[in-house]
Amino acid sequence: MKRQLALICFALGSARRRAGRSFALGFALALVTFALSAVLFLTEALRREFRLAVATLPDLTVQQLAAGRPALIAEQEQAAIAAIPGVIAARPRVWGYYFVSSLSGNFTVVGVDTDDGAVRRDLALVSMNGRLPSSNVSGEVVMGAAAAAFFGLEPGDAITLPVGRAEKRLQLVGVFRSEVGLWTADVLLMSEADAREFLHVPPGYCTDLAVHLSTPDEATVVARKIADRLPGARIVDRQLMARTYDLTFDTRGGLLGAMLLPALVAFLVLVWDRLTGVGTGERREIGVLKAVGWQTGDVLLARSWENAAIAFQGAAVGIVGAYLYVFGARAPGLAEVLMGWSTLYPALRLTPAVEGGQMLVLLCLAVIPFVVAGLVPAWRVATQDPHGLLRGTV
Amino acid sequence: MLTNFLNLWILARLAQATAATVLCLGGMALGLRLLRRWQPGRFSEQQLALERQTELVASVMQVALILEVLGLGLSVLVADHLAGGIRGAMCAFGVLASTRAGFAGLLVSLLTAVVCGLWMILHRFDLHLETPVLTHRKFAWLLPVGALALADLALTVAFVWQLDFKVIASCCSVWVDAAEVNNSPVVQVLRPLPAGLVGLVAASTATVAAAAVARRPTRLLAGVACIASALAPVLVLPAILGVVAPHALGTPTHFCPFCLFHRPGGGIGWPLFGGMLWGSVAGMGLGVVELNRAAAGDEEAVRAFEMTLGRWSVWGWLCALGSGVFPVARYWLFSGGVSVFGKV
Amino acid sequence: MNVDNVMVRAVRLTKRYAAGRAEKVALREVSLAIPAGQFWVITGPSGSGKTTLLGLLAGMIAPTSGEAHLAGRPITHLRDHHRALVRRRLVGMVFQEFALVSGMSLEENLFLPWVPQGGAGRAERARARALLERFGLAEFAPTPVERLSAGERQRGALIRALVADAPILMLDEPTAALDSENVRTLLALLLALRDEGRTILATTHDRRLAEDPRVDGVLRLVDGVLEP
Repeated sequence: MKRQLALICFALGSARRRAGRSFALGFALALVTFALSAVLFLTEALRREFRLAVATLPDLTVQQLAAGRPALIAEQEQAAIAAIPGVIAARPRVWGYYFVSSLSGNFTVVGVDTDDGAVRRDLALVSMNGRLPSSNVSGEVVMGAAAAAFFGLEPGDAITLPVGRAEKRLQLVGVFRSEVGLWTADVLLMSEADAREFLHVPPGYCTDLAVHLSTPDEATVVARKIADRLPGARIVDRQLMARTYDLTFDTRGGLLGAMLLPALVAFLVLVWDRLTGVGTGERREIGVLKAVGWQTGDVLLARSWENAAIAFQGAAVGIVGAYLYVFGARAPGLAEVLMGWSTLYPALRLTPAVEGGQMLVLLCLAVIPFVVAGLVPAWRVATQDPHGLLRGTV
Repeated sequence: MLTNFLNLWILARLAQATAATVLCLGGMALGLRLLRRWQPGRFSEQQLALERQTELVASVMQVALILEVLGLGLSVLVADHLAGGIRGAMCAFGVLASTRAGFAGLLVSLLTAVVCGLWMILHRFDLHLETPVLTHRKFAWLLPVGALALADLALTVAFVWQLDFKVIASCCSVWVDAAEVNNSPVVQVLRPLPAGLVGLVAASTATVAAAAVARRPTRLLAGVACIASALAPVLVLPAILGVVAPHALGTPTHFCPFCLFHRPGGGIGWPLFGGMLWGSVAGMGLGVVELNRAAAGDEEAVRAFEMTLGRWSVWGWLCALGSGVFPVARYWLFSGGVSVFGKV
Repeated sequence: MNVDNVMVRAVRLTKRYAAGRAEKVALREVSLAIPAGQFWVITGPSGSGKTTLLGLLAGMIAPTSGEAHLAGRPITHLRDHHRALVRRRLVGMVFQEFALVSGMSLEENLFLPWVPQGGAGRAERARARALLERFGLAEFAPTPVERLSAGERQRGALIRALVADAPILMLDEPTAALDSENVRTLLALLLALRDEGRTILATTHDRRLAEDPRVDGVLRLVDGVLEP
């Protein structure tokens, strides 16, 4: 241990003596690590956020299909589904998309019955400024932060939106906070009656049925039974959605990471080139070390520690920079790539999700290749004849 | 499937496996070249140049060993990470079990790390000797190392290729509970008391034997320590599954070794299996030294080296023992003496 | 000459280097024996093989054939690692170019040989302090070596060679970069060390050193061959 510590101290001194080269290599590695870390941190954080969001979804969602597209479902089907063993409840939901031409995109209109205690309990967990819309008062709405910002509204303001050939005045009574922006950015939350008016959903029908099970693992079995009772229905499994989000973010992150690999390879070629071209001063120093009794293995180890020190410092700067970029600056540019195309992006306030496994991944992708690339150049210099190195003849 | 490779974690595992394999194969190729031209006792410039190249081989193999050990940890972490994408897989077990190459790859990774470790021990022993008498056989041993590294990479690639996120995997508890129902021989091994006792005795024997070698190395003691370290992991594993895991995870039917790497298990999987790997490789290294004792012809060097190896083995086994006993002791302490299996 | 009293011995040492397709013979069948506690000088023109001979005797390089012995122990057939251990224990070397690392202080340079072993111990540090005082360099200990004069660097390199308290001291062209006054100072120091019991071997083509009457013996090397 003492030997390793002494060699590490010497290696740090060597890196300081060759500050220019050390800085160049460390900076290049920091850039590569920054890019890889940013992709990794953002992917993991988004995965966790979506996993948390998906956990609140119903175990099964039942939609009616017509001509292969989702259509309204009759609320009376709720009774048939609720009668299936294992089903705790089957609730009708009214929601849909509302196209706004100035945005060239959709907002999500969600109708809720805020008189329902369960609904109030669930919505109490979502942080917001203001209050929920009243079930028995028409024209009240709660918006996501991005939606409110788009319309230029603050709580208390009103807006008139076209509904078919008529218009509907809505007063903003609350805004979801940006911490939950990932799920609420484009949401317009209103009473169920107002939502039916916006979305042209007649009474007796709903957008879909939210099914809650006593044992979520029975989802596949219950889904089959629902399909038997409702031919043509489309049943969405929550666990399938969770896995889909997992794999989507993994694949996107992997794609970005794969695109960064050529940059990593180019960097390693640079490392090889820099470390192979050893300067006169450096060769002389190695000649001194061997002349005073250092063995080839000692010189090799000291050089490897020097490379490792540069690698760790560069990687640390890259990782810290990526952390600040993702969790502080909200990953501008990168977030849009990972989340996919949209006309309205949420303000991304992600909970830091950094763990040991990620550090190991970054180690394997960036630091280890750097140290390995420096191995042969270090050996070439370390095995030279000390006399020749001192005199500059090798 | 090709798209399986588009995952940063998988890319990292592949980068590690590729780097380790390239280093092992490079070391092997260099070593074979040295073997063909090695002429001990001669001091021509070529011979001296070959001696210098042995330093490169040693450095390369040292890094390869570190990478192989890292690869073991990364295999578990990557499989764990992928569990969210496969229905039914709650941890690494389900992911590894969902492909033909999963567990086979993990086993080969383990074997490669062990063989790399034993080669490093042989190399360090060779350096202790005043003349390079073991260089020839040392480089000959690079052949199996290179072959194993290649097999490791092949199985890693096969595992990634075979991953199918549409399958329904089996969770570890399903596998073991089924065995419980069928009353299979596996469960006989997993019955708490004998498995726990056997495991404790095996690990303690390996520790004591290594400590004896560290104090006063003899051929007999070194041989006993080597055999004890080789057998102990096999005997300790049922104890880990049958006793340590249930106590660490607080559930009498939770036998999964991979869950010991998670927070609910206290993360004891890392020091437990890491300590076992360290202790058993160092212990088996004593056997490597004994096999080469005659060729070395330097009793002092053999003695000194075996004492060092014995110390390393002791530390490894103590770490493993402590990590295994701690959750059991903690459970007993907090439950007031009640076993997790419901018996006193 | 009593064989047991020989500290440095060479027996038919030969060193050949590859030079393109041909081979260059740097030393040819050189044999010598330096008794303990004496100061010997090896002289000869440039390119005669003096530095190569010193390197072989110190165990820094391996010969093509022949043997080298230090304190009665053969070192030729030892591998690099063990030769280095023996050298560390028995030989202190001072190089023609002083072999000090620029950018490091004099003190750091003194303890450079001990870094691979975990750093210098208390004994080495105490010896270094005493030697710095003795050679008048105590105040320069924290100074970067590139800021020292040639004479100060020479003495610094000598102190590094002495810190290990090795019984043999080998110097390669120790007067090459020194003026007359520094040469006199250096000679006085070496003779004092000889009188303390150290065996000293220096290579030089400086007549001030080779022809000093206080030197115990002079060997002449020409084209790799020791003149009788």
